[in-house]
Order: sequence, then structure tokens, then C-alpha cells
Amino acid sequence: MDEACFDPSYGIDWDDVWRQQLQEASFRTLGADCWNAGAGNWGKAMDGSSTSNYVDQLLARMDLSPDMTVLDVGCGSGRLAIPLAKRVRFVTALDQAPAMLELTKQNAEKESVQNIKTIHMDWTKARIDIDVEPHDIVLSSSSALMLELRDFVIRMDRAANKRCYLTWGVGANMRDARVCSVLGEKYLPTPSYVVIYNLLYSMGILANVEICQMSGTRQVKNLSDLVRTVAHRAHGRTLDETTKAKLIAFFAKEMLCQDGYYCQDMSSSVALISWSKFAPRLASTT
Amino acid sequence: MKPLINWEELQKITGPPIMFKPGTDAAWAKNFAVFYNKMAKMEKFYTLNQVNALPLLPGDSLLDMGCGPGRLSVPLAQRVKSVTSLDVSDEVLKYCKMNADAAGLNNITVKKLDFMDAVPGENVEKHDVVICSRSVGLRNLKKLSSFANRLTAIVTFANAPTIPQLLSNIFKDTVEECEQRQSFATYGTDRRVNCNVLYNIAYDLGYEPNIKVVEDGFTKNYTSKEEAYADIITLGKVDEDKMGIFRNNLDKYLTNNERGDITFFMETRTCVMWWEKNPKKFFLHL
Repeated sequence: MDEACFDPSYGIDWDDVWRQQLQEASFRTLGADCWNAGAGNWGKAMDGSSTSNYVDQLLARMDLSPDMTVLDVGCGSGRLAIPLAKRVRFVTALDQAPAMLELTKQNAEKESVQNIKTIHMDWTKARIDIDVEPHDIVLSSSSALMLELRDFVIRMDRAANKRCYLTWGVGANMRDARVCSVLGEKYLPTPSYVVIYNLLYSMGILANVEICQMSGTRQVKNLSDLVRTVAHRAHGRTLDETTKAKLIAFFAKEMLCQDGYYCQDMSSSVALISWSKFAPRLASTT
Repeated sequence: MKPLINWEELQKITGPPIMFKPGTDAAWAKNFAVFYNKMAKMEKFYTLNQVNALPLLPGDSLLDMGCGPGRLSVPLAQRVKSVTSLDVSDEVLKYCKMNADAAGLNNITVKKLDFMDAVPGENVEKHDVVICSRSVGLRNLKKLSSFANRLTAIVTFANAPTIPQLLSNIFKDTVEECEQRQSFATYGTDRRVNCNVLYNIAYDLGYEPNIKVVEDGFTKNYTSKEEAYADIITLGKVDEDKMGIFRNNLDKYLTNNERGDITFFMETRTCVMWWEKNPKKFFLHL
């Protein structure tokens, strides 16, 4: 195998592998409408009822300095964008769901963070240099939930002056798997981080991958909130009242209840995928 | 998901040859050990990047599978409780012992054993951590991992020049014919395939592998260019009438440093991978 014919994709369209697996996944959150509808629930990750150390663990692993600019792609409620803004010169928080951006703005205001700007955009269609300026760091925190992964990461790479960071859950989501068994369905997970790794490799990028153990709990007052997050991610299926009741009974059984709050285990394993703009790239055929 | 590629098969057809073959004649083995020890000394500074990448614990017992002259065993022994250094060659083990003594370490045990003959619990105890660098153990990650109680680590060139490739630049056209150097030239297979394939093999074995690409290089300071020529020439062969070519080749790797000395430097990149024996196969993260 000489250099001229080396194909780092091994003849596989990793973008297509990703798309297929994501389409088949039992639970996923695709599209702005879905996120707009879910904003009320997801915003709660910021309201102090969660003790997950995800944000701290991630910040500790990012190579940051006070003069840097950061672009947070798929910022959600701003739970990373806001603490990041306290450590760097400027943060641009981008999301496709206006309701999520509104949460970011509200949360930034609450914490008196002013060096943050929000942009409403579908990242897989963003024109770098026209719609979005390049930033030192580009971050995607579990936000690559897009059918067009290749378009997603190419734009991250182009928009970064120094380094890209992307996180994605590791392994099967056990709660989703158990929810599927309650629903009487076969569980199909979202695509693995290894597909992202191989797609990057096919683009000539030899990325770093760090598997991080996160821990923490979240207090849930009302189990129907949890059922609603399941419904938001159930794409196409509507949960009837009997199913909802079954799920509530399931959550009640699996979670500890203390002082009127249900305690949700937030332990998780997350792959932190990162790559530098300075490291030499492989010759890519694509 | 069913793997799309049989990575182990791909490794078999693209993997590089193993430099040291047991049963080769004694003189060759001796020369090899001398050569290997010189190279390891020149990599000493950059080897720390590899050691620092690993999540080691002070109480760890560590098995260095294919230790060579202790390039990794020595700095690793300074961070963990004890190191068992295994190699098929008596000659390199002498250097390993010598280098351990020179570093004032008494927690390294050397043992002659071929990876192919090693059986966990029979002729080698399981250790907390097993590491294998640029050695035959990379050919069988399943077997390699079976020696670890906690963590398996591997070190390989990160789609960057290997030692033979680097040296082939310095000894380009310096001999009419040389059997040993020809083996460098006919190295053939594209090493860019290597580290990505190893990553995927580990993943398909059911592990959640971490990967980190680190800067690497071989460097040494000399008081004069003449001293550099006289030292580096011992790493290969140069015909008497080809000295001019050799010097020209080598000059590209020599620079005047700020102390007025000459610095020899050959740059490459290495990747370090590691995985836990029993990864948590779930995530609950939102």
C-alpha cells in the first residue's frame, strides 16, 4: 500500500454509517422543533437541581487561556458556554433552537456574564467566515446529534484556529434500554463515538479520544417531567396514557425518593474527542 | 453493532515486520541491543510525553511486554510500585538492567520470555497495568490485555516516521549494498494504517480505548559536527567513498544551539492508547 493509493476511509462512507444508525436509534433528538419543545425540561440541567460534574470535568480537560475565543456549537441552555465565558475572552453560543438560545441568554444574565453572544443557526449549513467567524476553540458538547455528521465536523474544523473538542456518550444508554423494555421494543442505541473517530480519520485527522467518567445526581420532583423527556425523544411514536403510567411506575421503582424528590443517577461515561489544527494531517483521498 | 471491517485481518496484511526475530545469530542480537539502546537514549526526553499520558497509580504493578533496553520501564518504574520487564532478547535485557541501575531503581525485575510463549498465571503473573511499545504484543491485543488486572497500554508511531524510516534518510545512498539497510528500504507497508487499526481492534474487543498523540523525537547534543558524524555513523553503514553523502544527509538534522553546541534532532510523532479492563458500558447523560 503506497502513499498514493492510501485511503483512510477504508472504502467505508462513515457519514452514511452514522446517518443510518442515528435514523434507526430508539431515541434521538433531531431538529430545532424537538429542542424548542423540550427546552422547558432541558433547561432544568442549569437550575441547580443537578450535581453532575460533567461541566467541571470537561473544563478541566480543555486547554484554555484568558485571551481565547470559543465557539460553542449546540450550546443548549448554556451550561458550558457560561462557565467558559468566565475563563476566556469571548464565547459565541450557537444553537438551532431559539428556545434553547433564550435559556442561554437568561442564564447568562442571571450570572452577570456579558462576554457571550448567541447565534441562531443550523450548524450543518453554516458558512464559515460569512455566517460565523473562526474562533480559537470550537466545542460541541453532545450536540453532534445531526444526520449530517461530516458537514458538522468539517465546519468545526474550519471554524477553529487552534483546537476542536467534541463529546459523545459511551456505550448503550441503560435507562433508554430499560425504557424500551417497558415499551416492549427492541433497543437500538445512537451511533458510537468510534464512528466519529473513524470519520475524522477518513478526513485525515488523527484525533485524541479520552474516555471520562462523570458522576452526580439530579433531583426530580415530578416523574411526569421525566416521561416528557422520553416522549420528546421518541420521534414519531406517541406515548398513550397507559404507557406513560407504566413509565412513571418504572421510574418510581428504580429511583430513590427522598424528601419528596426522586434522585436520578447521572453517572455516565463520555468520550472527549479532540484534535489540533497544527498537527500534520494524513493525505486524504476525499 | 457488528464491525464493518475485520481490523485484525487488516492488521495481519498491513502490519510492519518485527525487527527482532528469536533465534537470530548472537552477533546480530548483540549489535541490535547496542543500536536499540542508543536510540532509546536519544528518545529519553520525548519518552516522558508517553509516560505522562498514562493514568498510572503509585501502587500499580506494571508489566512491560517487550521492554527492550528499558526505554519505558525506567521512567515508568519511577511512577509505579514495581515493574516486570519482559523481552525475548538476553542482550537488550542486559541494557534494561544496566539502565535501571544507572537510574538508581531497584523495583525493576527483568525476565527473558517471548510474548508468544507467555501465559498469564503460568509463566507471568497478571499485573495491574500491562504496556507494550512497538513490539510483537501489538499483534495480539486480546492476549496482551489478558495480562492486565486494570489497564492495558500500547505505544506505537502515530502515522509518522518509524526509527528505520528516519534512519533511512540519514543513510540514504551511503552504501552500495547492505543487507540490513535493505530491510529498512523494503519496509514497504504503509504505517499510517497502523495506529488507527490498533484503535479499532481494541474497540471491537469490547474495550473503550483512549488515544493520545504526542510529540516525539530523537535528539542528542554534540560539541562539534565532527563528533556528531562519528557518533551517528554507528547507527548504520557508510562506505568510505560515501562519507560526503552521509555528512550531507546528516547536516539536515543538525543545528547550532544557543550554547554554541550542535543539536541533532529527528522529529516524529507517537500515539499512546490505553483501555480499562472492565469499562463501564453505559451512559445516562442527557
